[in-house]
Amino acid sequence: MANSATKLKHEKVMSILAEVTGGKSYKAHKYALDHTDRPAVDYGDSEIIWKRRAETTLHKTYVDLSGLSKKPAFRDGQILSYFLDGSRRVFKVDDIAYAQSGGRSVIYPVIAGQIGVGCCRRVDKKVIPIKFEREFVLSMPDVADADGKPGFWPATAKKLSECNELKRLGIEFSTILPYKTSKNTDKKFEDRATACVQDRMIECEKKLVAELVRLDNLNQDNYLVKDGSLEYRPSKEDKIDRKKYQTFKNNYSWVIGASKNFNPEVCEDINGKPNPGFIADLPLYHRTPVAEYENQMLGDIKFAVWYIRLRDKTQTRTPFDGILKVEKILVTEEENEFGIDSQLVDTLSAYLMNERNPVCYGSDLRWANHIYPIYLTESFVKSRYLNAESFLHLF
Amino acid sequence: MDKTDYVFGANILENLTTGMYQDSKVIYREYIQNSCDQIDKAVKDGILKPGEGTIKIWLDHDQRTIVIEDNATGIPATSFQRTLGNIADSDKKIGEDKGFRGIGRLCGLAYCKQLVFESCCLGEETVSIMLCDAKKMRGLIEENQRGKKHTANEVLHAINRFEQKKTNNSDSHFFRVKLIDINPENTDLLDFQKVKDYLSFVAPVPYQNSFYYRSEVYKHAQYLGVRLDEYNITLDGETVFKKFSTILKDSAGNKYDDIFAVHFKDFYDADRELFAWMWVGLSKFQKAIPKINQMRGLRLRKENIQIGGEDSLQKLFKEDRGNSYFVGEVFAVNKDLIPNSQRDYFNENMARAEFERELRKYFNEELHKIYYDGSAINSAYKKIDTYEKKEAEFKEKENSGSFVNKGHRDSELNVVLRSKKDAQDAQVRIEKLKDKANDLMQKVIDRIEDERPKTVIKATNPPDTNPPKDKLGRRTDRLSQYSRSDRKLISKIFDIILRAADRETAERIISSIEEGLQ
Repeated sequence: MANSATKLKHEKVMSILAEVTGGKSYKAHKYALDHTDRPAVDYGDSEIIWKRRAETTLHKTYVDLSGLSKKPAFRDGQILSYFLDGSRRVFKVDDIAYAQSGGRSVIYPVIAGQIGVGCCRRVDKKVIPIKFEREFVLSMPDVADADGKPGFWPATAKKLSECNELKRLGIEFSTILPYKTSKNTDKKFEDRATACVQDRMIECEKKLVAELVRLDNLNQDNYLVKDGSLEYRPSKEDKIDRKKYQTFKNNYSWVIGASKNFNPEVCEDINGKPNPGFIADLPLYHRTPVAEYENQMLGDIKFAVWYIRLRDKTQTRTPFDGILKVEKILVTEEENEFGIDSQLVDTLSAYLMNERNPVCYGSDLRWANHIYPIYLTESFVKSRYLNAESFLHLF
Repeated sequence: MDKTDYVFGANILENLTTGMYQDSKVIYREYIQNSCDQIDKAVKDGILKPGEGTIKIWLDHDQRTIVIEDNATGIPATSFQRTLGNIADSDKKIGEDKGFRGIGRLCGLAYCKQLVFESCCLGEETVSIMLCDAKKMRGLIEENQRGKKHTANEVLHAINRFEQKKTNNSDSHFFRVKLIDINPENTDLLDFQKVKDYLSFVAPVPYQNSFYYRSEVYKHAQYLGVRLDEYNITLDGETVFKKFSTILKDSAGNKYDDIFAVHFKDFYDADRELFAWMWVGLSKFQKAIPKINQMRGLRLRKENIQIGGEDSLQKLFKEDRGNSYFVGEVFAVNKDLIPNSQRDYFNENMARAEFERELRKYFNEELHKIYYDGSAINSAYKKIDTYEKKEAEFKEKENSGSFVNKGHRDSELNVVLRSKKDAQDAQVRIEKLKDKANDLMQKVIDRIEDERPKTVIKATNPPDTNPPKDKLGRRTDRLSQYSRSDRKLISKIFDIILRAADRETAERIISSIEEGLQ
């Protein structure tokens, strides 16, 4: 045993994985799977259940904020101070075969991912990085752990980290995420594995948001803008002490989610019917009324959502470009009962609209939907990735 | 008598507790006020950095308990008993501290079974505790009032107990008030929304960020060199803000007007010393602001804590309704403007007399004018709008042949012409008001004119006094299925109806008859 452990230390990652999981590595072609950074509509099912209107003024149509965003308070002042973005890169690093019943063997892809989550803070009009978390992860077919041994994946990840090459480079795989190989969906194995990495990235984002919320630095003059949808995550420790938990929960008042991509199918119009056209026709510098939804995955927390148009339809390629989806958790008792104060929605929207300049036109295809500090945060996160070639070389 | 101590009877404690305040919610103000003073001291002594001070209020409905705690200086163990045990013996100074009488902390004794104070100082490993049996105190006072005499000293000895306990955390520093087992009749003290609404205007907290003019208010305070005390206060973890908004709602909750700007006024005494300043929100002044708008009224503040309710300055307006046309705050600065012990107004002195004189002058000369003239202009424009609407209706009736006969047309024309006269008079009034308008009034007028709903149906030509021949008496022509003699009879009936009923009723009856006959 001791000999085999010593031997493994000198092996490459794939050889160790093949050895530990009893598979056969084919040393297949390695390549990146990413095709992000393009504007996209987030099609498909959604867990969102639309509920009532969720603001104190019952607007019947779009709200014009062009005048408000020009007021001196919105031009000179600023309340959006923290910007958080997560990103991941996935690579197909090998094919691995496992013996199945009947003496045949099946080949599965092995996916590796780099996850980065960063946060920047704006002080005196300068955006400064303040936090960065990076993770290396692998996604393997669930059949690699044929017996379903408890603790198998963490132990395998630990074994990998003991290998000399990774130690030398100071790299550790934080976890191995098993993807399902059952044939009950049409999804390709690569996509299933990528989804595991994506979920892990969302977990990392949630953790960092919760950490910032816990720090108590957020307040009505220092909001945190998270790129993408909003999640809510108290830890068990947060919930032990009632007072601490109440404080933690209330600090989420100062967090908003801003999504560049969204599924317009789930937006309802003023008559309560799903109507993507209602969003597509949103005039420049206007916002939609606020709707409320609950997400069963996130428990009984209620979310408020609305859309704002940053760019004129005539300047963008599709009618959904130039629109930002904004989310906020309903935190206070008043918000849960009567909805968000419409003036606060207007205020946040006006500040977000004023973030549209300068643009990352030419540098990013999603320029029309981007708010610049988020673009900078994303660039910061990406700059901290291990170069793709060096990363692939590990396998 | 020379060598004996003067005796304070137990009733003095009744005056300072159960008999002191009308509204039990003042306990929040009193304890917050004490915490604010200690936070200021902690910042001055370097225990806290500016902005680090917090006052947290926790309500526990099930346990019927209220906790108010700060992270300020705390009270040293050595002076804890003297500081909290003695009454009206504060070391604080008028004009520097928010509280100074040394009686505010007793207010909790009126509303709960037990009142507990706990404190710890930085560097100390002792938590000092004072337990006051509030229920017992109220019992002894009652006995005293029924004839079984007790001195205040005896009562305090009977109800107060001091304890100490060790803590391992020498870094902690706090002062905590616990009101245990709130009286059934004071359950409102545990009503989250009521407490939050109260604190939203009374407590020294920042404006909510959706009040767009907050930066202008801060800038003005900075320009004057005065401090606008603001503290981080939370209620069950929710941050409390001053709930000013720029939207004015009618009683149904719909927006009818908004605050489009704020105006500042500074008050100086004969020595050119600032004694007060204020901001007031400018709107179209269409009507007295309905009560649904919690922020309404000019509110009086000292050290950024509200003095009295929304109506404490109402008496300075010559009309009672005056105050309810406005949204704004008056900040008293002068050290000699001393809040009375109930904190609902100032002690009577020379400074108060001057304060009232100057404010009354401004309210009744400037502010009265803008809401009075603003209202006048609004109603004048309403008259013009009414005329335009009536004229358009007349034209419409003329074109559709809705007049029964010439008499009907004449009477309708008279209505239009009377309205026209009213509109012309209104126009003259508007011009006169515009001529005498000062800068402030001009802003209001500009806003009214900008926002005035434009008439959609506008008559192009004034109606002719003489009706066009082809359009007269054609209303019954619509009933072409009836014979000429029948139509004549119907026309007669219409005429009778027109003479017997008011315009609207007559029109309704005639239309119904037409519908029934067709």
